[in-house]
Amino acid sequence: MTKALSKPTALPQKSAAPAARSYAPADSYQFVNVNAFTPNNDGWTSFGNVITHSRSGNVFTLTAAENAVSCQLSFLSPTCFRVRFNPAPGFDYSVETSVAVVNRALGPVNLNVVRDDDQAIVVDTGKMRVEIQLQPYRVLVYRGNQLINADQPGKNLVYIPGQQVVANFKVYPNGARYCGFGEKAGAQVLKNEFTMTFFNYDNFIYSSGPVPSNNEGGPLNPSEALYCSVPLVLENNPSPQGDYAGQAYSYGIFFDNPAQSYFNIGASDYSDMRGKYYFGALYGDMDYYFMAGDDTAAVIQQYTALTGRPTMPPKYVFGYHQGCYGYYDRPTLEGVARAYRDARIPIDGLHIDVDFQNNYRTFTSSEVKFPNAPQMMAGLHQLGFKCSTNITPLLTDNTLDENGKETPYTQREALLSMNGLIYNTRANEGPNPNLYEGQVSYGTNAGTNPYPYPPLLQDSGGMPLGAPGNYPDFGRAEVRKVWGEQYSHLIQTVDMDMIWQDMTCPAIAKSGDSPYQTFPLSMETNNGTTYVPNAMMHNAYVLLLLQATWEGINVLRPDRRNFIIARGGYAGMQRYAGLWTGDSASSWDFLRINIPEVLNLGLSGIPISGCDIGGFANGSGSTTPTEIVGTPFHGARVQGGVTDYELLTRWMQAGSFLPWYRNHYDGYTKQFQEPYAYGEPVPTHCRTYVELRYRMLQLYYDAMYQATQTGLPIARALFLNDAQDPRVYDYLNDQFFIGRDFLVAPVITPGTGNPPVATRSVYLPAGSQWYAFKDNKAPLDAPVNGGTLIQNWVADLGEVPIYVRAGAILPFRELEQYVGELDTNPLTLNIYPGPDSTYTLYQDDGVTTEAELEKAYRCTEVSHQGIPSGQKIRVKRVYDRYTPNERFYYIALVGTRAPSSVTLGNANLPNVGDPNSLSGSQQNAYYWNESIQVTFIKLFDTQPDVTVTAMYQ
Amino acid sequence: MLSRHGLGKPAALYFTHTWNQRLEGDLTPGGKLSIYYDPHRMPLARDYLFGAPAQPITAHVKFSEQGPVQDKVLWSPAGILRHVDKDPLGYGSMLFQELVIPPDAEEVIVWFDYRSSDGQVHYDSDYGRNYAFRFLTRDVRPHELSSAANGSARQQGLAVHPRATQVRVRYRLLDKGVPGQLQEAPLKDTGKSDPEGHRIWVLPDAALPVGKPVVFDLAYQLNGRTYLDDNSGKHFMRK
Repeated sequence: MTKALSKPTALPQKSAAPAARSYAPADSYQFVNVNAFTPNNDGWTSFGNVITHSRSGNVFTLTAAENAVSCQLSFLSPTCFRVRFNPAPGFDYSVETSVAVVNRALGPVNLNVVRDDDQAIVVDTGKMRVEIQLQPYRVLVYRGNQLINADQPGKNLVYIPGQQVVANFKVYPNGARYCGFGEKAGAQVLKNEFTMTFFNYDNFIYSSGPVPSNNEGGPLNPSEALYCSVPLVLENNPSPQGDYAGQAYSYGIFFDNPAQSYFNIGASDYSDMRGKYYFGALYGDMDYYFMAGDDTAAVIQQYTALTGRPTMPPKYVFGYHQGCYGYYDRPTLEGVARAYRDARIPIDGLHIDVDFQNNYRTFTSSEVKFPNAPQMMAGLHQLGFKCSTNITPLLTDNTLDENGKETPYTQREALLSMNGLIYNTRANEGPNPNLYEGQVSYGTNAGTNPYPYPPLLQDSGGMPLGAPGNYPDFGRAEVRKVWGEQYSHLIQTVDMDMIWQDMTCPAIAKSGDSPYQTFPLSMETNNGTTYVPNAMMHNAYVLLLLQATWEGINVLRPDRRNFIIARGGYAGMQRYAGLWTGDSASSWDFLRINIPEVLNLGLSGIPISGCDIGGFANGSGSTTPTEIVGTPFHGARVQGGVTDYELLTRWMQAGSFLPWYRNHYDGYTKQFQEPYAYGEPVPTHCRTYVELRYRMLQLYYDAMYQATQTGLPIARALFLNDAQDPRVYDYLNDQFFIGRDFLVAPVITPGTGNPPVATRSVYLPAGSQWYAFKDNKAPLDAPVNGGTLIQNWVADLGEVPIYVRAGAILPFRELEQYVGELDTNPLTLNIYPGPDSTYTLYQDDGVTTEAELEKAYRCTEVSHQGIPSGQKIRVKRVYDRYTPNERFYYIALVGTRAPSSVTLGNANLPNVGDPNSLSGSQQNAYYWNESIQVTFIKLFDTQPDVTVTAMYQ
Repeated sequence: MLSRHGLGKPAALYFTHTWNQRLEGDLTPGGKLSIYYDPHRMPLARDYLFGAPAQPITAHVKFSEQGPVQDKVLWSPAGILRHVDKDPLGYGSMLFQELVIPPDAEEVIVWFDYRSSDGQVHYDSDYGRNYAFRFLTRDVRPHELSSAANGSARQQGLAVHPRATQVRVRYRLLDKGVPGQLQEAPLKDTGKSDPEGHRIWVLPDAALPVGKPVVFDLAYQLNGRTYLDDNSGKHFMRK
């Protein structure tokens, strides 16, 4: 027998030497279930009475009488303060270790300390008054004379001496509504009376994460630990009562702690939590930012100023995408591309899973399965496709390539040679000279993928797929740099458009060493500053990975916009990536949670998110069991496992209105899930909504621009736009806005009959009137008053209830099969009857980084105003450093009778009488469409500020 | 010859619904052991609900043939599930238990029973033989020998438990990555022992084909059972 599996000599562990402080024993680092983190029980010590305090600038330092611990309260703006506490003796508050916060200069701070004695400090910022009671410690926040937030009296900031656990209790007032929390399961937007934990977990079908043993696991349980952690709570109180009586208020608390953390919102799972909520963590600081606002939008603006906002992504991101774990070779992938074009279902994205790699070698492409990948990519680009491939943080130590030969794996060598891989050093056990080796499992190939993955062998269940390997130490800046360089083959040679960042927790096969399907929690990893047990920084690992990828691909391709779609993240991930919500299953439950999940992600500063449409894995909505037909590994194929057609249709409809729109499935267990593969009426119904998505893509793009400027999400919970109507809180879970004025209420439950017809209710927020959306295919119905609950909206399989706010301005374009198909694609600005309103239109080339780097974009303010017997529409460029290809645009005055005149300035526009004449007109003109009662006005885009007047005498 | 996956890592046993029993990690006396069990190995009642305690599945474990038995009810860390992830590798929805292996353990012997809602008890015990797992890294160790014939060539050997017999390699050739038929090659007992008393076995040079990667595991007989060392399910490899 020859020598053992060749492993490189372990390099000196100079970077892996543990810090001077000692940690708890290695076996003490565990996942702790939501009902086992128990600050509401006895045994915790309160911060208590303050014996001394001091001020330095905007920072107040308080020292407790008990245990001589100290905390700091600092003001970042008139509406934001930070509380920081660590019970470790001599803790150095000058050291910042956050990976989430990028900016603490949130505004000018002019504090008026109206009281400062041994009983209390009262600080007036001009926008809020913060009362820091000292005997004992307690923080209360007032807006004017109205209390809007308070620590629980007595037991609020708590810890256990000698341990690292921390928690903070707040009062849960009557009428308060709680949301945010990033990626959470559950069919409710509001998470009142739920208890949640934040620990990035490879939670397949949301049914493999730890929950209390008497709880039901699955997608309806918000206690599930999921792939992305954003410990942010937003409280809205639309009708404050009692001590909090006054105007509606909003605030947010961002708890910046990447260890396993918790929010219990009045959930009495182990104790009486009525009237209170807490947040806490197993390790690290109590470090929270309180952000007050008159409404949620103001809070989100502050939170995203703190943690960053994204740049404009490539426009195609908002198109439709298709992925499959199982497009395992070039003919298969190209077949899907052609099938979509043949079916005339618009699509931009194709997502190629790990099958693309040479024997699971991250960063590589397979010459066997995808020969001449650059040529393949060029061909797909010609068809209008933009592609991603799956990149995990694993660097396999399997020395065999896909041909069974030992060949160099240069990308791994690059990380290895600079000592960039994590060692298997455990807390308090001294440096370990061996690299940490984990195992990723990619499921099983029952014989439908004929390609070998040496040395993987079949067993009775098929061929297990996966690889062992090592992981980069992303906390170190030099490692991130080298990691980013390894994308050169994919980005520069293959010309891959975007990166699909997967298995980010990182996801490691369940084992005795990885019971939580991730790094051993005692293993020391770099948190960006020093080495700590992974338990203390677990949720930050993915953020550092995303940063490494984002920075790397932008260096490799600086002139074109890049994009990452990630499976996990931490607070601040929006700077680098969008999020898909992990491995869903084909079930009505997963469709049901899709909307609240995406809405809460948007509220948590992540504007681009979505679910795997149709479900990734088989589920209760899969029609038939999976069978393997044919000879395994010799032409076998998957039969069955197909998602029920009604479920798929409704999911394609709902997903068409959510920011990230990708159908993705496990091709090893499902025969198909592409809509064209179903029999009619599925392709037709799906095509209808995909086409609508493409025609209204500008609306998403404009909303995205707003997100880059203010943090406001694209898909919005009702209260974001209509906070004035407290009834919206009763209808949050299955209806939402795109932008400000486009209200969607998808069908998310099965119908009855054959074909199935579903019924749902739709609530139209008070304060506006609403028009049923006709898409300029029929005249508008009479408006419906807001405050109306439409019971029994009957939706056949091709229908989705959609309403438009009266007075709305909605930009649409002509249909194209992919973003950029048409060299010119004029806008139609649809203006609905109703109150005056303004809309900000954002235009850039949608492809290059010129908008970001050279400020090459245009912002146009479109407004309309009612005048006696008429209407004025103004189109005014407010920032103009980009010239669109389109020479003209249209204004559609929806719901109008024939105008008596249409003028531009003082010039009468000719009435050309029909759509073809208007389309062909080489001058400004209009015509009125009697059948749909819309006035179409064509304007050549030659002036930066034009006003059109339509009169209806 | 033997480069082990999972060396030093806590051991885990996987009992999958495809009737595989797999050991991963380093099973050692004094160490921890996790047991992952797929309840679909049992004839589950129609009203069985994964993770619900009403129909328990119990692991019975002993650490020597005559040793006392520990009885541990398996539980679901993922709570009660209406839809489970049936993974043939055992990485999906599994019932779980963990134990500490006594320092004086000789091996791990385990079987299971299931009490269904109709009161019947069903067993999963390998037809009464029970499932036995040896401490493989203790039973089998690499042992380098120098060739007596030419002094410079080095043979690879194994130091194997002194009572083990019929030590053999079960191997497949990888041809362009594609595994061939399963074949066996016996090792030869040299008659010598290492300082710890393990017998030295060698694989003759000609036993394994050269020129192509070979994937293999080890089998041996001990106490009337055949034990398989497949390197945590990942096999060993000679390139």
